[in-house]
Amino acid sequence: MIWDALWQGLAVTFSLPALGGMAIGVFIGTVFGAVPGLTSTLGIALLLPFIWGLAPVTAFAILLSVVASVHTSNTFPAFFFNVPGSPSAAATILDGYPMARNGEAAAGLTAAFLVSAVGGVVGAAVLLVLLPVLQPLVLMFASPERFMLVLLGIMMISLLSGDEPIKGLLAGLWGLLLGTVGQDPQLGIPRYTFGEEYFLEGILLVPVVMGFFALPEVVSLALRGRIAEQPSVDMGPGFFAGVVASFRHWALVLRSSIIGVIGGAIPGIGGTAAAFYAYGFALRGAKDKERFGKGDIRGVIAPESANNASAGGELIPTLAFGVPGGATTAILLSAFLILGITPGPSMLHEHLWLSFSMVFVLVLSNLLATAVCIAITPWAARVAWVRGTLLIPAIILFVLFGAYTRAPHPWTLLVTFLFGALGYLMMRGGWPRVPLMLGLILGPLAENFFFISMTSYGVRFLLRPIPLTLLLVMAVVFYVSLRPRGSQR
Amino acid sequence: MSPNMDRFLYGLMMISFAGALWMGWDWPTDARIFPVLVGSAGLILAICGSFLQFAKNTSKGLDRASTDSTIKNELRAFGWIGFFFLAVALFGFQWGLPAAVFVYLTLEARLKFLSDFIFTSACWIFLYAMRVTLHLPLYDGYAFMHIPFQ
Repeated sequence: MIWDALWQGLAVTFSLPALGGMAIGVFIGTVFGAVPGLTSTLGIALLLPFIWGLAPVTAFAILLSVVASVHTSNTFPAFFFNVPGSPSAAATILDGYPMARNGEAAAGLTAAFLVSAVGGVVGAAVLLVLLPVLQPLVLMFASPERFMLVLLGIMMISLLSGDEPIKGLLAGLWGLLLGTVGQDPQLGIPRYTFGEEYFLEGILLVPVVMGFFALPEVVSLALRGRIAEQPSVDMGPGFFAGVVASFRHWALVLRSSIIGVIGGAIPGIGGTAAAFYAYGFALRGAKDKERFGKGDIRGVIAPESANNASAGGELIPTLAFGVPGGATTAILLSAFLILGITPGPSMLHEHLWLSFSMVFVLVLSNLLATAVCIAITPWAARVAWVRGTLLIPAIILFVLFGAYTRAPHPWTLLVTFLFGALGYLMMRGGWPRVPLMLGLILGPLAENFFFISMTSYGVRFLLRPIPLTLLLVMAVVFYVSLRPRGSQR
Repeated sequence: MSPNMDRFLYGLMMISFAGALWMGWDWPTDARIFPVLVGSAGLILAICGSFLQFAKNTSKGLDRASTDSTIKNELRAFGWIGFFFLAVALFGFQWGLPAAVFVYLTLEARLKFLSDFIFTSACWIFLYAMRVTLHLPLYDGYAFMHIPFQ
């Protein structure tokens, strides 16, 4: 039965309507990824009305291709403008943008696209193999385990970013605190909203990301004159350098892809956090940590492998349990309902061929998106040598447009500007900005998991085996990070 | 890394964490427990950090001050960013943003009128296309929404 379903899935994936759907999806996804603020979530949300009446294979070919292509092409603005094309590329800017400034955009982008394809394929392969056996593992992660996992992630990134762990920790805690702005999830009490309706939903992520990361770079760009510090670059060797780097760091690619799959598979963690985790692991495992943040290709390879792999990971709980792994798969659930399919166990029985076809679509669309992005890289990379004064209006346009379309309210303008100013002060003072972002992203989740854990188990939730293990890992990481630099060597 | 900037940010964090604790103290337990825990940890860490910073600065010496020209250029860049935001706030995306682009390209980038015009038109067309094709709710601007022009 499984082999029949596998062949049927393969056959329908290579049918003309499905291939056409993939081509459309890759085109739309590449554009949406390359324009900051137009995310995969927005892309598939806008496409939902058009899939009505389509065959499920064609519909999912379009939607999943959009997701895969956005995860690939969102690297362009991360490199050239220091703006993530979508939130999942936020970790890529840490080393991607410095690479562009060092005149290594072609090499970095080529590596990013290649490992994105590998990550996407690994994610799909894991989905293919583990779908029937992952159910008990996902179920092992209840609220206490998820809470500790979130804390561990924030702590690792906080301690590993920058030269002074205390600054990273403070930034992470500040992010967590900012994550509590809005209605309290249990009682509905407005917290830190200052009476403004706008803040009831919390501080929205996209305006913060746009202001916090992009605006400080506008100021830097204005001071420097242009993105790249080198006047020209030979694109040919850059391409091959990217290919070579991707092969040289194959273990990192594989490890990051697995992190991406796991991050995607655990509901609520998602591709953005998975990319940061992968970056943190790459940083932790490197002997020459000081190169990270200054244009190290490993800092691009790790998050790019992870965020593409997370797409496959997110589909695991969606298909197996009908529980979306993230925002994008939450909207995909609507597509299932529009097409008259109930996600969940039925996807492993009567619609197994469709599940397999989704796996093959993910593989093909990742490869296609990679080919398209590599093909346009030589032209896209030239943006790095354009005068800063010509790029600045474009960046501000994307920042304002991206922020406002995700949170259409005049307050968005002020929030974006204020976070831009804060981001610049932190950048100039040598404070890491990523922990604050991660705290803000995971704060609401952490609070929710914490509340459920406390209600169910009291403080004894810390004594469960997995939380206790994670607590010990946190203690070790904390101890190692706070030791004087000299004793670490 | 500027010690002055560090002092400012440590101060800002102390005020934020202390303010968060003060504001959240009267909320019901379920609503306050997480912010109070985070705020307390943050306040303690910020106080420790600022003491460490103070000790480090006293032992290591003086502030590495930015030059006047750098500060002037930074303020100028922030001024332009503020100008773009203000233009959108007042006149909306469709008209305020292209107008700001035109002014910036003329005064800061010193482009010729034709290039200015092309870039500004491209900006206007992009916004118009996004608004029409994707039905995006772009802000109309305070002036257009509140001041009667007819």
